[in-house]
Amino acid sequence: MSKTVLQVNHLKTYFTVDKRKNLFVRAVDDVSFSIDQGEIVALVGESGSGKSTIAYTIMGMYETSGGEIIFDGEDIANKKRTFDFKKKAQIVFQDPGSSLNSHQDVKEILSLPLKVHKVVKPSQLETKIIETLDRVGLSEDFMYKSPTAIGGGEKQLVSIARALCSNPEFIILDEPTSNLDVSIQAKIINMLLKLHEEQSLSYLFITHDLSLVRNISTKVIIMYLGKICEIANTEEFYGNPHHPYTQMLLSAIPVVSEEEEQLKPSRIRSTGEIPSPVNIPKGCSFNTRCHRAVPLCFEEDPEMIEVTKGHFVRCHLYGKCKPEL
Amino acid sequence: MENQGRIHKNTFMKESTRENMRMYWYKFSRNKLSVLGLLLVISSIVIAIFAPVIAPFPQHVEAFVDYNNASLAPSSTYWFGTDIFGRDILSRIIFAFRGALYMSIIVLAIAVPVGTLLGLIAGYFGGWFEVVIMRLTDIFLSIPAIILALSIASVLEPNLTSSMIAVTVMWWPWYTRMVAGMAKSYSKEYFIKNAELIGASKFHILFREILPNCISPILTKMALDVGWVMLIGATLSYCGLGEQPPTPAFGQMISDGSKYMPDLWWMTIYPAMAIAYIILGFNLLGDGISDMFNKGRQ
Amino acid sequence: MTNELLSIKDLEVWYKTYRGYAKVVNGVNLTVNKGEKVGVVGESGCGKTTTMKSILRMNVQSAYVNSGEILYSGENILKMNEAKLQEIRRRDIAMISQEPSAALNPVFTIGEQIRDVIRYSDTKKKFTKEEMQSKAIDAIKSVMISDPERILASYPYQLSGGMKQRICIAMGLVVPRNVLIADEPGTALDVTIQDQIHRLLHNLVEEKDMSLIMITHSLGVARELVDRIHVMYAGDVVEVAKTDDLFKKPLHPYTIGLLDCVPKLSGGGISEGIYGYVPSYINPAPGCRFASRCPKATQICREQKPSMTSVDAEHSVACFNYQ
Repeated sequence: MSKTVLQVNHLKTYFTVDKRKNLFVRAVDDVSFSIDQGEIVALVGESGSGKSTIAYTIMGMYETSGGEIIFDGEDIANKKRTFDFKKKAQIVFQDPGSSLNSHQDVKEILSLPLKVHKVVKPSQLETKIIETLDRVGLSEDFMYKSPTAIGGGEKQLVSIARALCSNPEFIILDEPTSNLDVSIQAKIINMLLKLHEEQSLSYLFITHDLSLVRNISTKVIIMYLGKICEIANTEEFYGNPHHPYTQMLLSAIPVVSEEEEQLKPSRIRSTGEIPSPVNIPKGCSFNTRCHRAVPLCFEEDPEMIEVTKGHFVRCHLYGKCKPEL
Repeated sequence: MENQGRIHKNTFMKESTRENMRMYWYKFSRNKLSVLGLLLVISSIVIAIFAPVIAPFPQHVEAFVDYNNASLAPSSTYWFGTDIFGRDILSRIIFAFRGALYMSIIVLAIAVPVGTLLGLIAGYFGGWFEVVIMRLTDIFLSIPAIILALSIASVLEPNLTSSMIAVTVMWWPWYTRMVAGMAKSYSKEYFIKNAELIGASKFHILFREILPNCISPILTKMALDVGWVMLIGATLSYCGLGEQPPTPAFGQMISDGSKYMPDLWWMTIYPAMAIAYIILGFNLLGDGISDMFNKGRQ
Repeated sequence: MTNELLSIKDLEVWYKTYRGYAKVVNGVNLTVNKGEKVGVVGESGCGKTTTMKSILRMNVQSAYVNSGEILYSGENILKMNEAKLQEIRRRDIAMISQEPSAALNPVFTIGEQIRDVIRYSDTKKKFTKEEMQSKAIDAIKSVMISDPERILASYPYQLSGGMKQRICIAMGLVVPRNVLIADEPGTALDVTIQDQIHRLLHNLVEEKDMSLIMITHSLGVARELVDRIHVMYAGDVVEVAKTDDLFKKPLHPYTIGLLDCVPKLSGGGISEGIYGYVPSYINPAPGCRFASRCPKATQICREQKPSMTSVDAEHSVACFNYQ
């Protein structure tokens, strides 16, 4: 049994829209999951599902409205993040252009975490930077380059190198490749997987690309409007997707071969728009778009149900309204 | 554009700097007016530095009277004519460049760092810092600049120093406001978030992350402001509040000359043209600098 | 071919930069037949958008066409006078951009913007208000939006991204067009919404018997939508094939590499990607532009530019390995 790096229990992050009318955006609503050491957990959802909000809440950029975040055995929800946390947990943002300061060169960017966390002696700074660049597959020529002079993929590699500088045990990757071309994506993902194997790092991988998740993660979490719809181990998840939303997502993926076409759930036409998070429908939040909705779905929010071991679904069809077979 | 190939280790640093310089020059020189502005500014600076060498009659700058040659129209000896005391206008103009440039440099050297620092603090920290600093800025900006300067300059002794103090006091709020806006928007950028999450100090974030990004707009504004400071300085000296006679200053020369318009037109027109020359130069240069730092594809 | 509607011949577009000319589009050939759906697939910076913008002469000032021609029903668009070009833009060819929020003017209602499109589609004819309104309503209905009146009266910021993209499509199709150029219409949207938009485009184009040029970076999207695919790399079209052929039997090493990189739903890990990076467009090396990254490159690839060779009737490739 490997140790749990991060445990999130009933996490809530609400944003106030109008204090007097008591209007909130429930960006993250009652979310629980855990990440073990050496695990790659994929957090999948569309825009407004709250997947990035979870990441930012874990990192302490937002205040929590309820629940616990247990990191290394300690509840850190609504506490100022310690120096130790800042060393052990890192985040890589989606937009490589904006996450690097264009007025610094790569050496300066990478020195910051090394200096702040006193990873190496000042005299060995340069050696360490070259070593870190090498780990992400960049040559030492990059040291004196400005982020404006390198391509998007290389920028993201520099971001990852910066995250690695403080020898973290947990990295949140917030859509690290969704702005990049597939050939570059392949390089970055392979590099991330290699690092993961070498150092048993744990990743929380945020993405919207289910075919990418298939190839990298150990566990998949599907989110919709701030709530988790489905959690399962990757094999189980792709073999047996339960939630109607998951099925819709899977069938919307454009694929490149006949073989993959077979794996998609029988074509479910995606319909409707994602409702605004301010105005989440009553009952199950997916009821406006669900093709299998039953009357109860408009009345009552379903509970999380464990269908098979480790496979949780939040849907009435697997609980109260299980169709008779 | 994607980068290509590897550049050899020993040369790439110089290579990239040279590359940057070439790019900046390309962007700057695309507008020929910017190049003209640069020439005007360089010539003004050269004139100011070498004034004693260039001026045909350097002694005319001090208390000097030569009634035999008073009020002469432009001629081959006195290119821009002489004033009612017989002093050479050209020499006095050349020395007036000195005072004008000196004043702008001192004013900006004080106003820019002060304004920038306050702006960084207000923009990044927000909260009470922002409220206090920005309201203070608003107060200064709400008083018409020239009136503020006139009143300060008249309370103090009328000389170059007090007019410089007056102009400095009205100048910093512009920088505070500009930098605060930029700092506020940068503090939402991911590279600032990253620095915070890594645990960088506030000092590092303010001066190593945010400030370098604000440099190019500050430089652009400074180049434009040199001209404006001169203009305000000339206005003050026109009102008798700047440099005191006999030291030459543009405003004071124009003011003296205007009494004898239109008969002794050269006493007014040439100093006015000199102001126009230098201000035009700095304005065109400012535009060029702003083009130069303009992001986007070449 | 007789029903050839639009054809691009040896188009070269160069950008002026401080380091010299960037040869971004390097002799592109592309034909679109009547009622055909054509895909242009390539990674960012391969010149696909520049090529498409040249069709309506909408490129930025620093880009200019060095050589080549673009024939639209027999006439060269690049040599046309402004008035003629304006006619084509108003009536014949529409373009849908990647960023729907940037394509709509935030200070006018959707209705006003659609009515403008109708008004200018025929400058000689005077449309009455009712006529325009009913045409606009039809257009909105055709993109599967349920209450057209409310949408016509709303401003762009009141609508979601998917909705805005539908409006853009409606604007493109409110006047009967011959060609629709769609520049990554789904890229900025969520997966499920993207799926809806693509399906909508597909159905509308079939229904109205228009030609579609679909620009995309995703082979999967192209596979679902178009009949024939042009694969572009670094300013060159490297392979042209019927969609099925391309996926069953990709020939060009770049196409093979690209297909390999796409993460598969069937799992099995991710390939190593394509070695190296896209070469510079300024003073490019002679020869095939893919040579520096190509696993099969030989001496000749570095010296000469391969020309398009037909492998069979509908499948051609620009690679020395097949000559």
